[in-house]
Amino acid sequence: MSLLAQLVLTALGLSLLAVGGAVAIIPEVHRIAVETRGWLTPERFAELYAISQASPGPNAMLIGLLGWALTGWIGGLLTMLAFVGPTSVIAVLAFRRWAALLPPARQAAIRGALLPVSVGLVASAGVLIPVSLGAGLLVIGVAASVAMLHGTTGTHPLLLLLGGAAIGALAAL
Amino acid sequence: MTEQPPRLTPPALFLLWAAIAVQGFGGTLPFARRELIERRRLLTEAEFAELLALGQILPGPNVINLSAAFGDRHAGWAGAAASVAGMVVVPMLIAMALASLVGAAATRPEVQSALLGMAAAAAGLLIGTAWRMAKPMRTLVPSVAVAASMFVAIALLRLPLLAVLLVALPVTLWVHGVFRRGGLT
Repeated sequence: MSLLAQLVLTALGLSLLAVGGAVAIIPEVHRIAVETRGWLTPERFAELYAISQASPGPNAMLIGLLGWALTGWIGGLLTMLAFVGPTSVIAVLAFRRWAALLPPARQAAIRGALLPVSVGLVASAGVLIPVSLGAGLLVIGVAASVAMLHGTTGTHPLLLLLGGAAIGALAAL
Repeated sequence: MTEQPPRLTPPALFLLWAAIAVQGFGGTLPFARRELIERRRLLTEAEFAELLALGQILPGPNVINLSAAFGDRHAGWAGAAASVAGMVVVPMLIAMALASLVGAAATRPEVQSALLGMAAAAAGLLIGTAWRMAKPMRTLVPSVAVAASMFVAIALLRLPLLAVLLVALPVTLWVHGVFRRGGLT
């Protein structure tokens, strides 16, 4: 099977696992791309994730950038569309048929039950990336500072990303 | 949804969602809210909240789910496809262009170190986001137990997500009482 076909199939499967949002599948993308298949080094994975966050648009673009890094521009777009395709079809059908069947209170209960699953997955991604980068002083220091600032203040995420890049560049001098 | 606003065609839907997506640094939701409710008056606050609420329960990116449902209401499947394409195609082109530029410069040691710092910051954003998301559940014992179990299974044991979710989803719905009083349907 060609690499692009493998990527598209992987994206189709990951799509349905994105519980509570696309950020939930970052640990699984890391497991598949870095640990199981060896498609990317941990550094390249982290770099693509940082670029996906520094770009405007939905949070899910890590998947498209994975496709881009392995197969080029067309592959990047196809991988991204494969990731959003199945869930968009489900969303259309769900809103047409099921929206009226699920009363708001039940929807809120389900949302409350899914929230801790998402929180656990997002926190996992936040820990896996620094660990896979070797957890040096620069990485831990920047990650911990940004976590504190983002968790407790309203600092713009883009500013925090640029701050991290600036500290990294200074550390190399 | 009320039918007072004009129905948008697929090309108009593509442009609408592309305009929302390219503004979305650090998340597209606030920009979707502003464009759809305040600027173009295509949805009311209540309609937007209803779309988002179900979009958050369904698998997949929340705002993209919302865009698919919104496009479907205006122009059926073609409208849904145009809206979702608008959300991802232009931002993907920007992200791939940015990644190409970074790749061309990444042989320099200070650029490599800057990328390492930015990746660490991106990881820090995730931890901060998890803390913020957890705000409504920080004092709920069942929720904290589920979140901690997910962390152990995924971050520490490195188990496959599909297997973990097959166990975690029924458990979390059960401990949060979703099955009580007549079940889901």
